[in-house]
Amino acid sequence: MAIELQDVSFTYLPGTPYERQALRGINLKIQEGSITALAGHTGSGKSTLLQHIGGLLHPDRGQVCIDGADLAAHTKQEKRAALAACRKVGLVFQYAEHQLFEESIYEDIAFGPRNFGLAETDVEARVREAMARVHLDYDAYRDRSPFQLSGGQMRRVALAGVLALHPAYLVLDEPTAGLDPRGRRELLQMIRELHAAEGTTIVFVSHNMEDVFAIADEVVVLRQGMILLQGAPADVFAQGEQIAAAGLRQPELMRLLSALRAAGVPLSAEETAVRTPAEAAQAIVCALKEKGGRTHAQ
Amino acid sequence: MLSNITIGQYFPGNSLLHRLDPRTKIVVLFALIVALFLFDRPADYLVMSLLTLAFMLLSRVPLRTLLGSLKPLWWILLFTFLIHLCSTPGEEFAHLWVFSLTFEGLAHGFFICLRLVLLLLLSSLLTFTTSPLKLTDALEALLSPLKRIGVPAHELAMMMTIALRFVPTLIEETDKIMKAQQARGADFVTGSIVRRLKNVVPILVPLFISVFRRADDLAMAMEARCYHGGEGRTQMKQLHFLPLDYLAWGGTALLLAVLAALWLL
Ligand SMILES: Nc1ncnc2c1ncn2[C@@H]1O[C@H](COP(=O)(O)OP(=O)(O)O)[C@@H](O)[C@H]1O
Ligand SMILES: [Mg+2]
Repeated sequence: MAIELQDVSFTYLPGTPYERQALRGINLKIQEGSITALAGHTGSGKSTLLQHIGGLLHPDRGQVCIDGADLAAHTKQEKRAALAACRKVGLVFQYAEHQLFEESIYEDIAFGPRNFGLAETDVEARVREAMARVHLDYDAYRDRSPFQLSGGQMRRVALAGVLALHPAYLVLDEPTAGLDPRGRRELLQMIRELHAAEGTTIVFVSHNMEDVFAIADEVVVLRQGMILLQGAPADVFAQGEQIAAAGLRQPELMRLLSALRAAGVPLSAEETAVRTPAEAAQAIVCALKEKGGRTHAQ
Repeated sequence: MLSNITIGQYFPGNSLLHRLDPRTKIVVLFALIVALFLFDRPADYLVMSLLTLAFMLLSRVPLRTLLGSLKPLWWILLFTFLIHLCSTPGEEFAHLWVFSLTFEGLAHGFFICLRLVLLLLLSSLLTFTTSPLKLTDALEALLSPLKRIGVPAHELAMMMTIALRFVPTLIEETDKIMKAQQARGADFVTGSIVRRLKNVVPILVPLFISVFRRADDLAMAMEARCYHGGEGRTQMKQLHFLPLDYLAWGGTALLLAVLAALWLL
């Protein structure tokens, strides 16, 4: 079971002077249970690709399948299958807090589950659970207006609104854009917790290579609507030239480790497992200790 | 979903009409409209029709796009034609209930409709070949003599510029919000009318919030750059008349003179 895109092409405003091809023959398979990051320069087609996965845009050519069901339906029966497949995908837009509209946080999060036709008792359970997932206290926050919160908290309410739909695939467009470092860390933490607890498949777009490096286990680099690189973060980011060609930078952490290794710090080959600053610090301390021990012994 | 709404009317290009100074275009359009109303003999209509046709070809805007701008007028045309057909006294060729249909009515109706069509085509040619920003610049330039009698030409132009600037942005924003709510299961196409109306709230509230946020940001940004109205303000893109413009002015004057002379004879 997976998200599969076969030869997907898409053009905005075809037949007008503003015509713009955003995707060109994308072939991509996103395995269930993985955390996949989409990276690429502005305008490379990341958001367009996400909207295809969410079933909000349909390809001009090729097809998008969720668990084997084609999202572009023609017959009535196909439509039902497509709708069911679409509902497995929870799409969180960029600056998701801009879509809040209800008077209370509870009502806003309940919007989705109610649209899915859930009974009110189930809705309440869903809201409770979703708020816990994004670390918002249910009793303290349920009746507050979402517009009185900080930007980071609003983003979390918006995320909860999608999590309440219990998506099997959570798709996020630049979830950490515009957040302060702490908000960013917390949000990534929530995504990781969700992945660990529910096994939700995560697909996210990011401009921030540290984010990608920290939580993704698969990276897809887009360039001008085509896939330029794909693979495990360490492998993908090792290809410095290609990364630069896509208008991206290697993660700082990776550059630090390469620089240290070049300077003679004996970092072990395990450094590929290093993802976060804390892990990096530990690896560096170990390496330095080892080096220190060796020089002493001489 | 909303992507099939073309952004404004402007059709980018580099034809003769596109290169004409926007002030020239506005003045010429105005003159032609006056001519359309003043001179209403068949020969005059023929001249104006040929002129419009020539402009349409010169603009290099696809014919379908141009004729598409007539679509909203279709019913009005039909209605106008019918009223003239039924209410003009003259030689009757048919009788329908209490109405008498006359040859004069037929001709009159036809010419009135032709006048409306030409009017709309000429105005569309202006908006198709002139970007909104140039249009407002030109309006400001043309209105500025009226500043002395208290017409806030600069402010009017600035308001128009800002409004036009934000139309595509707001369309995009609406599209995004609709998609986001759809992703949460909102349904804007099926269901009863009450349900559909209720579903407008999740679009309108974020849209209004966004409009106010943008207005606030814009006001702040303008203030931070010391905007204080039109006084002493210069423009980045100055409007300049080219030889082409003088040609257009001259041509229009000549045309009006000839039509007027024929009229007086
Ligand atoms: N609604 C739209 N209408 C027209 N063109 C669009 C629209 N959305 C995106 N595009 C164009 O499609 C291309 C890809 O955009 P997008 O998928 O948003 O890129 P990214 O998210 O990687 O920055 C860009 O060139 C953009 O200008
Ligand atoms: Mg984007």
